[in-house]
Order: sequence, then structure tokens, then C-alpha cells
Amino acid sequence: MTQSLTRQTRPSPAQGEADPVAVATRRLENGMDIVVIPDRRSPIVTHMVWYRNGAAEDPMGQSGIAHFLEHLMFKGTERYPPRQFSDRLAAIGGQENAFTSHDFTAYFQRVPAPYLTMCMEYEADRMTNLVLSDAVVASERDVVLAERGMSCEADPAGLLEEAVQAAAFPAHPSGRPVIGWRHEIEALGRAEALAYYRRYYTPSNAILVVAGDADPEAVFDMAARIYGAKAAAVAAPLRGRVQDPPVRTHRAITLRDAQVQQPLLQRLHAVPSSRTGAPGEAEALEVLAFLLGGDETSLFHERLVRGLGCTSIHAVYWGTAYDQASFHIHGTPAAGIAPDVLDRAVDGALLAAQTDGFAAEDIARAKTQIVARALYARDSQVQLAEWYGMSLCCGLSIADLDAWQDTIEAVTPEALGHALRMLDRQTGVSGYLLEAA
Amino acid sequence: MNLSVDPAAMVRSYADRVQRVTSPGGVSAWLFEDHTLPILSMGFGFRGGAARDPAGKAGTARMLADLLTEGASNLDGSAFRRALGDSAVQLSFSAQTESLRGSLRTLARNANQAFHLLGLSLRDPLLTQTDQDRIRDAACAQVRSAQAQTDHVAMTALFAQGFPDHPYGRPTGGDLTSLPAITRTDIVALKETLLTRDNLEIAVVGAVSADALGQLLDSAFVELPGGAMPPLPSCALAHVGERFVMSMPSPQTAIYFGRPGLPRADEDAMASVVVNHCLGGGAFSSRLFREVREARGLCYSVWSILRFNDGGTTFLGATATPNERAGEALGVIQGEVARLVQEGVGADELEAAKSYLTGSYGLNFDTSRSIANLLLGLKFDGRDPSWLDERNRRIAAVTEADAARAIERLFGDGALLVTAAGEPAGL
Repeated sequence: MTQSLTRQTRPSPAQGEADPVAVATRRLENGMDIVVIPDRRSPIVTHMVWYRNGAAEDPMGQSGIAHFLEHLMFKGTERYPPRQFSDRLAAIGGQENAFTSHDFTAYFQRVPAPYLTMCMEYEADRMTNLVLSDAVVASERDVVLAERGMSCEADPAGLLEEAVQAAAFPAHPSGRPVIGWRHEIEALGRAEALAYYRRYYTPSNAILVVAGDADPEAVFDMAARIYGAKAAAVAAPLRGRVQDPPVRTHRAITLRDAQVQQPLLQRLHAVPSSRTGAPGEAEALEVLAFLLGGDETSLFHERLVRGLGCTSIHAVYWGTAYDQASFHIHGTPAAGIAPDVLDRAVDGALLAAQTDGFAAEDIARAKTQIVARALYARDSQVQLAEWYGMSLCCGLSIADLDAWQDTIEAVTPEALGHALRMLDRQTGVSGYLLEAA
Repeated sequence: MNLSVDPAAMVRSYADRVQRVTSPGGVSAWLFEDHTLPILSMGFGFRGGAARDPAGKAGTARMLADLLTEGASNLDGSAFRRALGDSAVQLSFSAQTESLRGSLRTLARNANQAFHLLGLSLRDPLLTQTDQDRIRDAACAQVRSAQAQTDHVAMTALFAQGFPDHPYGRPTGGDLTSLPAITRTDIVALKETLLTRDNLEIAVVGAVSADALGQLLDSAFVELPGGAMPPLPSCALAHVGERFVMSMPSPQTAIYFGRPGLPRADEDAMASVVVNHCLGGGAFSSRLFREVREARGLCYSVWSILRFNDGGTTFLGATATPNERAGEALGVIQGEVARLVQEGVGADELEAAKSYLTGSYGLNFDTSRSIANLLLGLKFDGRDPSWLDERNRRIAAVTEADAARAIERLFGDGALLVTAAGEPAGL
């Protein structure tokens, strides 16, 4: 029961290196999508149900409701009294959890393969039959407030990150934290949770992903019997989020705190995602992030770590988003160097990249590693299931995923230059974490 | 609910899948061969680790680990990293309390280059002064960031208070006093005593035959010197029954608690694992989860584990709670330990715990890295591959009498060493 951000590593078809991922898909009559990714190496199966709604669908004034409901989904139904499923799952050594992002909410179990049916029956039941009491809701709200305290408020870097995110997405709901603002969580109750639940937890809004030791046709039959029995109550809700205006101003956010002993730089640019970008744009941003700050051969590492003595710096592009995506640059300055000085040095490195371009062998090495990481990710059925689930929730198709490796390999120096211009200082938010004066 | 599957049909022998490989040069490894994907994962490590840092110089092993990928032989740091990247080789090292571990992942077709580069990094790392200074600055920055976090402060305090005169009491990553004291001589000396064939353990998973692996092992490891680490002195967590509060500005309090545990080789060790599972193990089923989180909403996370070290075992647990409820949360935790001591575990609870622990073991076999880590852990524990099958038999054999005896031996009077960081009320 955690919130999580989308992860970067993706499994790939990895042409030439291995057989393509054998993915089978189907849609039930009630609109529920099914994806099966066989991996027969061990008798283990991962069962996930993804809903195409996340914190960005939280109604105004109710930030955190998607995540809160994710917690409440473990509170039982008439058929499965509280704890009953968790106890049965524990008895077979299975694992379960759930996570919420701005764009999706997902529930999963990892079990020995013969218990797939048991997971489906439970997940199908709680899609529509959740039972909540005021007492259960109140106690779980305290848990979420403690989670917010632990993951954000007790950590100045977490508070700064929240403020930077809010500034980078001034109108779009991605500017609100997934876990919600404290004062809004405090006002969430049973009625709000159930209204949200009834609106979004429907078969046509859901994607079933099964990865591991399973036969696709058998999964389709099982799902048709279990999930197919759910009435197609309403059409999937539309996802019309408020969009941000074009950004023309740099914003600097400073947090000084007595708890801070190590200053940090957190810089964020809202950039196109795999869904909103022009063809190839997201892939160019992905290669660019690797070239700038993906590993110890990157431009930032050479110039700012080996050169300036900054202690660490990373660039990360999270391209799997329904609307605009995030490009993060996080750095730890050397002792005696202020975060804004490091920020200016980042701009200097970006300018150098714009002027000089990247060496052909550096681009080739970045592509090699990005593609290989995707192949390595295929070692994990959980990573495969997550990648397909989150991509589909963010509006991509299986065909988009199949084309990914070719598109990465086709990224040109010109496309990298175009992507670099999206990191212009005037479009970004710079967060500075500082020691108390 | 379909529970009609015969669980016996699920049982596979994992031990039978493990090959013991010895290279032409005499380097031995366990191999779990699987050619489904054209990749190879290796976990390896050298017995020793942070517990062997010189006195006053905690963090030496950690700096050595960080420096091993900063250039070797005629390749400077950038060139070494580029060589790894050109072949998509992933190589990293980390210092743990009792071992310095490495992780290597490569495409099968690049395995020769991967093991060649690994060999260079182990035999002939550059360890330049410039890189050392940079790595030290980065380590100090991490320590300063961590010192702002209540969880880190409370955990560090638990080990420092619990092991005042033993290497287990020192932070693996070093601190702001010890890191600046470390010299190149310290790092080189540790490398020479630690990175030896006698300290080495290796587990490999993936697309490689035993014969091919033998050649690869020799190219990376055969030229390492001999020499084995002497065993660490044994020890037990001290100051049990005492509380230490580390005051720091934060809306939340992190609480750690501990007691000495039973040694790995103790006949009640498995029973103690089962008993700990009932108290604070697993995800959503433990007594602590139900009482501290579910029934009272006092926390998001609460857990307990048994940390089996060569020099002794420690029962260890933690939670984080709003400051104003810290006293209440600790009271519930101590109450649950006391209830366990007084009432023991019932037959149903015991069976459920055994059933979880045996069933979940198989879930470790879903990725190459997970399998490699599991095998490597067994090698460091001095187990045989047969343990992969034997472990579940031992857990299944734990009786109510065993559990009662383990509770008595593990929890005794129920007293705990407690450390807390934050601005707790009621402690």
C-alpha cells in the first residue's frame, strides 16, 4: 500500500538479441482489457489489475482520494470479510500490495501459479463490492496521515520536492501530491471514498495484466468467467484534465530548514510524454537524459562531478505519463558550493551540449545501454507486468511498445538538440534545499 | 475460492538445479543455468566487509567498494566506465557488514569482456587520490543527508548503543569523523587482505554452461592472492531494557527496538524465525501490523526481523509515528512482545506462519538476480545447495513446543533496547 512514481526501466522486444516478448491481448465484452505475458521459467505468476485513474483524477479539494481508496480496498467485502483474503494469501506464501500514481492505481499479487484463480476471484469481487464503515475509514485515514508524515513531512527534501512539483504543474493536477495535501486528507470520509470508487472501479476502466507461468488462452477463459461476469455498468470515465499554460518564466523555490545538513538541487521541467510528444520526441528525451546524467560517463558527471567536484548529479526522464511528463535534474553540490551555483553550472553544461553536440560514440553507447537495460528488465515478470500496465494506463498501445526499440535507435543528433531546448532555464523550476541561516 | 490444487504438485527441487563448478584454475562457484534469456547475472563477494574497517576509520570498505569501478590498469575512471557501457555491462560493488559484495550483469555475448573488466577492477584498481577525495566528499554528503532523517538516526543509534565495543556498532558507510581519517594506505591494505581467493564466494545464474563459466571465472578471479579473514569475535546486543532518545526537529518519531537473537546454527533458529514472523514479519498479517497500524492507525510501517550475522544474531524492529503518539506506539509494541511471552502462539497462528514462510520461499526464484543473491547468501552462511530444499522441511517441522521454547529463549523477560529520533511525547 504505497504510492510510487512511474519507473524508468522498460522491457523491450530487443530485436536480434532475444525473441520478442510474447504478449497476448484480449478485450472482454464488458470492456476490460487483458494482457498476458508468459514467462515459464519458474512456477510463479504475477496478477495485476490496473485502473486508468490516479491522483490526477482526484476531485478538487479532495487530493489524495485515489491513494486513500487504494488503502481502503484492503478492508474487505461481504464475501471476503476483513483480513480473510490476506490470510489465505499468506497461507500460500503469496505477496500482495498496491500503488497509486498520478495516472493509475494498481493492485497485485505474486503467487505460486495454481493460485491465479483465487487472486482473480478476489480482485473481481472487490472491484464492485467493497464494504466500508466510518470506523475503518477513520483509522485508515490516520495511517495515511502517518504515511504522509513519514514519506514527506519528516524529510525536508520531500517537502521541497512537493513544492517543486506544484510549481512545475501550476494548473494540472500532477501539481498535487499523489498522497494528497494534509488538510484535504483530513477531510476525506466514507462518502467521498465510495463516490470515487463507484465512478472509477468498473471493468471498462480496468486492465488485467498476468505475467509468469500462465497460458494465455487459459487466462482469457478464466478472466472471461470471473471478470466477464461483471456488468458493464457505465462507459469508462473520460480523462479531461486541466492543462497548464505555456511556461515562460523560471521559478526558484528555496527551503531553509534546521534539519538540513546537506544542501541539494532539485530541478524539474515539464516536457512532452510518450503520449503527448511528437513521434520520437519522448525517445529523444530518454536518450538525452542518459547522455546528460544517466551514468558515470555522462556529460554532467564529467563536467560537474569529475570537473567541478559536485558530489553527485542525475538526470531522469519519466516519459510514461498521460499528459506532460517530468524531466528531473537532481544534484548534491560539493561542500561550500550553493545549490544555485550548481544550477548555473548545469546551465553551462546544457549550453555546451547545445553548442558542441554529443559525440557519435557517446550517443551509440547510450542507446546500447538503454536497449540492454530493457532486455535485462525482461528477467523480471513483475517489471514486465508493470511496464505494460502503466504504459496502457497512460494511453499507449502495444504497437507503441513494440516500436520503442527502433525509435530509440533512430534518435538523431538533431532530435537531441530539439530535446535540449526543452531544458531551457526559462521553462524550469529550480528547488534549493538549504541549511538554516 | 479454488484451493483444490495439490500443493505437492508444486514442489520442485531447486537444489537439483544448482551445479557446483570448479574452473581449470580452481575457482569454485554455484551455477543455476538457464538459457531462456541471453543474459548472465553473477553475485559474488569477499568475506570481511565493513566489520573489518580499521578502528576509527568506519567507511574504509565502503570507499574501497566505490573506488573499484573508478578505473583499473591502463584505463582511467572515464575510460573504464565507457568500456563497461560499450558492452552494456552492469558492474557494481557495495560494502556490507560482513562482506564486500559485487554484482555483474552482462549480455551472454559480451561475457568475455565483462569478466575481463571485472578482473582488472579486482586485481589492479587505480585508487587514485583524486578519486578518493571525490568519493569521500560524496560519502560525507550522503551521511549529512541521512543525518536529517529520523529513521537513519534512530537506526544508527540502535547499533551504536547495542554494540559499543564491536564493529557491528559502527555505520557501514562511515561518519563525518571517520571518513576524513581514511588514507590511501588504509584502502590499499584493506583491498589486499579482503580481495583474496580464500575470502571469495560466487553464484552465477543465466545463459552459460559450466565449461564456459570455468574459463570466465579464471579470467576474473584466478590471479587474486590467497589469505583468509579470521572470524569476528561473537557478541550480543547490549543495553537491553534501556531507552535512548535522539532529539531532532521533526513532526514524526522513528523508533527502533532490539534484543539479542539465537545464532544461525542454533537448533531453535528456525523456530525463532517462525515466531518472529508471527510478531512482526510478512506484510499485512503480523501482530504488530494489526495492533499498531490496523487497529490504531499509529503508523504506516511497522516490522521486525532477525539479523543473522557471523558474530551473533539480532532481533530488530522499527516503526515511525507522529511525535504525539510515540509513547502510545512503543507501549503497544512492548505490550505485544509481552503478550507473546505470556501467551505464546496458538496452533492456527503457528501453522499460518509456517505455511507462509515455506510457500513464499519459491517466490525468490523469479529473477536471475534474486536467485543469485539467494545462492550467494547460502554460500556465505556456509550452507550446501541442499539447503534450498531442506530449509522448508526445517520450517515445516517446527512444533508448538519448539515455538514456545524459541519465544522463551528469544524474548525472555520481553525487555528491549529502544532508540527513538524526533520530538517524541511519552518516551
